[in-house]
Amino acid sequence: MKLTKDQLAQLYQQQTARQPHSACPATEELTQAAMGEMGEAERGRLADHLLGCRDCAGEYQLALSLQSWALTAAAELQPAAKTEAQLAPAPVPLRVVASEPKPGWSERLRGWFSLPALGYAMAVPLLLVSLALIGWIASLRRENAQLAEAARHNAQQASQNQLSADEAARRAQQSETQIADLRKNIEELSQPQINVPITDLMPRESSRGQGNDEVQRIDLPAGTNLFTVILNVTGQPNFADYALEVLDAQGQVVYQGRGLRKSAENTFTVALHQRLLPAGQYQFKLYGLNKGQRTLVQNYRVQLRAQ
Amino acid sequence: MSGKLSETETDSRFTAILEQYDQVLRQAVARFCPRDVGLQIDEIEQEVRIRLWRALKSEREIREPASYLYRIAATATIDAVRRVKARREDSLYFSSEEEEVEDDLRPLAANPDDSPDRIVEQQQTQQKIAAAMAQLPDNRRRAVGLYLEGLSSQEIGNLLGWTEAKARNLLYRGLSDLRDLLKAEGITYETD
Repeated sequence: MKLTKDQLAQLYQQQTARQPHSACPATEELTQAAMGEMGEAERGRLADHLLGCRDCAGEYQLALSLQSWALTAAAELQPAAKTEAQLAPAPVPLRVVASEPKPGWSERLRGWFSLPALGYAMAVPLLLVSLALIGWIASLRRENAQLAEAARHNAQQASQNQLSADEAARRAQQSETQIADLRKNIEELSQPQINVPITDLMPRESSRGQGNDEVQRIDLPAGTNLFTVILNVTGQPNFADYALEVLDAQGQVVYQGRGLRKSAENTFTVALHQRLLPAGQYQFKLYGLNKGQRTLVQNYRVQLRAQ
Repeated sequence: MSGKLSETETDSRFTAILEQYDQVLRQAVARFCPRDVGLQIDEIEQEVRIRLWRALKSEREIREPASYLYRIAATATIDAVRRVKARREDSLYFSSEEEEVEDDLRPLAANPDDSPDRIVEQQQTQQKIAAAMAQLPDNRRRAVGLYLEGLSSQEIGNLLGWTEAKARNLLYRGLSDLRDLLKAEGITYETD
């Protein structure tokens, strides 16, 4: 036996006609279902009834078909009602079984895009969006350039800060070294100095020979830090104060000091550190100070030699 | 619609709305109640008119006019259709009883489709269709049954809370299953 689709539907519907006194759903239930206001279980029960009751199925479709009319009527009564989306689901187009097939989604999509007005309507907002995006990208690029410059500057600053920090650390290290040396010196100097050589430096006229250039030799033993010289003077007037000036072989002043006191034996005593006066030739010039005037009292030429 | 409309506004708009309603109703009844072409549509229209008129004249504020109008119109329409059908069925019932008493000799069927053999064959086919439908999974059975009752896949989806694509897919698979089951029973039918 061969059936058409319509014949199949007809045979099916013949056995689903409403029977007298059957428990058909209330009118409100059909309306609620058409408005999408039913829960899942209720929808299932109603569907089970509709597929076995031709009359209720027709009434349900009848209810659906009134949705578009209700929207139009509400809009006519009140224009604002056009925006109401209260009727859910959306109005369903009228349909009969075995009606002409609806166009497929691709055909409908092509139809939409073939409308010139739709094309223009889409082009305008796309153009605006494109312009806005271009502006945004440009501003982002500017912002990126500024950020890159700031980052470069910060990196440079950080590099300089690092150099400064390194220099400060180096200086601190140097200072610590110096402090350590000084402490060591202080410690050394605080210790008793033994075997300190004492040398009498005689005035020129009393030394051997007559030359002014006679050099007196001082031998410093190994491990000696200090040595003492006694400056002897003769036949000189007294001054209120005395000063000593030590010059190296190149004539550079190595030491200057005042406050020397002459002893009863016409001598001046000075203790010197070997670090101040390494091995070499020096001149020890003793001056008399009186009323701002400086008078050379004696000049001693010395040769220091380390042993 | 908020507030009460003026008398003139209500009258003019109401007339336009009802004209549209009449058109929609006649088309819908003709399509979805084909067995009831003899329904007295004027009677249905009159009942809905009265209920709509009362609604539009009411003093209370209506915040969702589309839903409100739809609910009233749909309910009134279905109620009216059911009442008219019930009266018609009662009338047919009584008239058929009278015919049985008065007319014992029925004329032979003029249409070959109404012959006893044909009727028996149809009944057997209907039983096979019902048996095949009962074997389908629930969702496919609902989709196929509603489809055979005349609902579109969109309407099926709306009723069951499915997307149209899901309804179409279930319908396609259900019809395919049904075709296989009926084929095993010696029944074939056309498919798309």
